Amino acid sequence: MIKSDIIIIGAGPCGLFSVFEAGLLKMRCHLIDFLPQPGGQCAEIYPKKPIYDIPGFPEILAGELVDNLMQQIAPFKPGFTLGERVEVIHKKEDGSFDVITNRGTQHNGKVIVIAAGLGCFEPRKPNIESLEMFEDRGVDYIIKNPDKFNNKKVIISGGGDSALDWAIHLGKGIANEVTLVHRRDSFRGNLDSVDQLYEMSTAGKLNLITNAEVINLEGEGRLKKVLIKTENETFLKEADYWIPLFGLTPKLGPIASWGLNLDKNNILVNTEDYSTNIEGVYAVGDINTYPGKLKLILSGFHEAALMAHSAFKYVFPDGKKSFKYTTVLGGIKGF
Amino acid sequence: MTTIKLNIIDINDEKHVITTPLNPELSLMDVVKNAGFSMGNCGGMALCASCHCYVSYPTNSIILAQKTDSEEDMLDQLHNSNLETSRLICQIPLSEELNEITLKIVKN
Repeated sequence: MIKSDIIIIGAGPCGLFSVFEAGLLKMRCHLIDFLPQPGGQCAEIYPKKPIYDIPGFPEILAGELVDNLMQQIAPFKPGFTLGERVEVIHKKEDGSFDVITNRGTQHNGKVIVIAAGLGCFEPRKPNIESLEMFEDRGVDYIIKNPDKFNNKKVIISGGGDSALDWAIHLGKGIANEVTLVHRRDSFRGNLDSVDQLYEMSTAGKLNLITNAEVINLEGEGRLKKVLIKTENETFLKEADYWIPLFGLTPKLGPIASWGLNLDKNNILVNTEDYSTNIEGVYAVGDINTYPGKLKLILSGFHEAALMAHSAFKYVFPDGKKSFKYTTVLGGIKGF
Repeated sequence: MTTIKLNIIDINDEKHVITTPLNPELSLMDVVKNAGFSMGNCGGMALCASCHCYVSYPTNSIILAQKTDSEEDMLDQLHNSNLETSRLICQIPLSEELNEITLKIVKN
């Protein structure tokens, strides 16, 4: 059981800044995110895109903003559970919350802050009937530990940077055989990666199958073969793993079943402190909605500050909160 | 103000017709989203594919805005994109010639 004062669901910019505002009030935070790295969509989808409306930064790359936020919250030593999705939140008699992830990790906190942005980023799944049967039994959507593919026959589908990068990486002596299947005859990934891919293909270090797609999976209890359809033929190919890399798409996911008042895919909050209809649960950033809501990072930062000052009463019921400017504090005093 | 008519086929194959004033500052995605269809998660940056549609036209005379590199990159990743008809409609500004266009929203 991981214990913290505040459990923050979502490690995007607003989740990260919530750590800072909570830390100033001596509240310890633990962040949980389905993505394997902090930063939310800023890190996952557009790290190289400039943002122009962060106060004090005429222009900053989304990835740099995440790096800066990580630096800013470092003194408060937040905990991270990454690559896991929160499935269940349960309010206990003492007012605290138990939280369980899809991997079974258990957390307990006095307050929950939902900073889940557009929802949980989940892999786009191809429309193959038997797909679910082979998930975690040979079908992976995210590569967390490349060593698991040691000496295995791996088939990757996709034409983006992620598919190219992993095909190249696994083709350098890790996997026994790597095959990249792509629906088109050209690749639009990073030019250096594309060159390297063709060089490795020519050298026999990986197989390229273009104008093709995987249309079915076979195996008994575990993936054994994939059915590949090209322009001219359909054939079975042996595979220990199939990794379809078609990008990520946000879904509200389990949040919809937590008893929160929703408006479409957003959580309704009180603008006094961004609290939800469940006492002790707050929602900040793009995931919330209220009259006049603007889905801007800067709005989420403001919401995080008000949330922290309100959450203080749950973390320190007998404590006296003092509001001081960081300039007056003479530096950030972490944990 | 000039208005245009758009035919929408939603993810359940139900047909809808929306009429919209011609505001060139808006994209097709803005209009379809404002009409209540779920899309535009990334705010129109061609990064999420929530506005992926199969586009068909009443005549062959319509020339849509060229695909940007960002749009090509995203379409290239999708397992259900179609070379001829797939578009991310956040990348298509409203214009008079889009009148009577049909957009089939692709399930993401």
